[in-house]
Amino acid sequence: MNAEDETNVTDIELLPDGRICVFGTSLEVLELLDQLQCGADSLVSARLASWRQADDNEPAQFPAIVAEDSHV
Amino acid sequence: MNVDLIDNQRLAYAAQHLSHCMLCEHRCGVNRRQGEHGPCKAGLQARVFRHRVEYGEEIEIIPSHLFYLSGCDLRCAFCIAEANAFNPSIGTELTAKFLADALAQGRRHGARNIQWVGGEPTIHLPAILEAMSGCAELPPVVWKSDFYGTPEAFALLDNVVDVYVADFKFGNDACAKRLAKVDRYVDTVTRNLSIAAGQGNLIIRHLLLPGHFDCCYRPIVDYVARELPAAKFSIRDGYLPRWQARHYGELAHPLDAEVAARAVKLAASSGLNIVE
Repeated sequence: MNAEDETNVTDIELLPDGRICVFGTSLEVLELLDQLQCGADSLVSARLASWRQADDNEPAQFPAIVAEDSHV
Repeated sequence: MNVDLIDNQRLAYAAQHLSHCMLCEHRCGVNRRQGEHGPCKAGLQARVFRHRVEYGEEIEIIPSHLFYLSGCDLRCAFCIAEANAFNPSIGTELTAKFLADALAQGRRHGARNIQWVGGEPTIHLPAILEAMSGCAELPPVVWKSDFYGTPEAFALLDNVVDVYVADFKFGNDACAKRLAKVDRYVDTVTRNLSIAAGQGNLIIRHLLLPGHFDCCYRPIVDYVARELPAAKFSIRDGYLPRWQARHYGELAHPLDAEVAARAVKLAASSGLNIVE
């Protein structure tokens, strides 16, 4: 078995009570969930906002990945 | 991450564990060079059974390029990686070339860091450090672990890891023994949380398990509130009954939404630094 890049693979599981579990979230899936307004809107939009903000700031480099105040 | 920090001395210290393995708290001491296997069954090579760029994790670390290594020192009955996690012979051998090529691919997908996951990466520390040392450049490093490693293992990670993601699964040793087949779980994990907090950024994750609110979740919240109140605390409510979970009555069903809401409420009222 070879390790393939599975960035474009997403598993979605629907629970009996209507919740949706998503395993493997690409940017495109995140954007899709945002459009669907599936009930986790704040979680989805916060991730998109974080990504867009970082992308605007430093598109070409690996930026700092956590805020300064997160150091314990 | 400055690749030069993974120098020959660090690589040599790591390689010693291949002759007498003390990377995790099983402390089996096997000689992996001679084909001996401990509880994790790891040999000389580390293997990647999957890698992907992930946008669904905590905001602090996305987009993250996850490398899933086969083989684990725990035997969690509800493991979502199932068979891949427990068989270290599955996947592509981790080499510097494989890693550099994959990282370039991940960067095109927007990845901003590399995240080692499993299985459990700790049991493959020598191979991981070797592979990273052979790359011309590295992004920041995220280490997602069950935190069952030894202080010796954490010493090898010092100044290499930027963010630790600790998977704090059980709030007592009895549940850890029953569900993951490990001893001295709580003392080991809490000791390692203290070490990690002194070495880098720390996110403590807990996957809510059905039927384990009072025995596991509540003691973990109490511990974090008491000992590491500034640590970021991530509550995962996406439990699904996988692997052998159906053999453990309370784990045979998904988590009730009401339990997840109650968990957030408890963490908030305890003053934890909750991240989503």
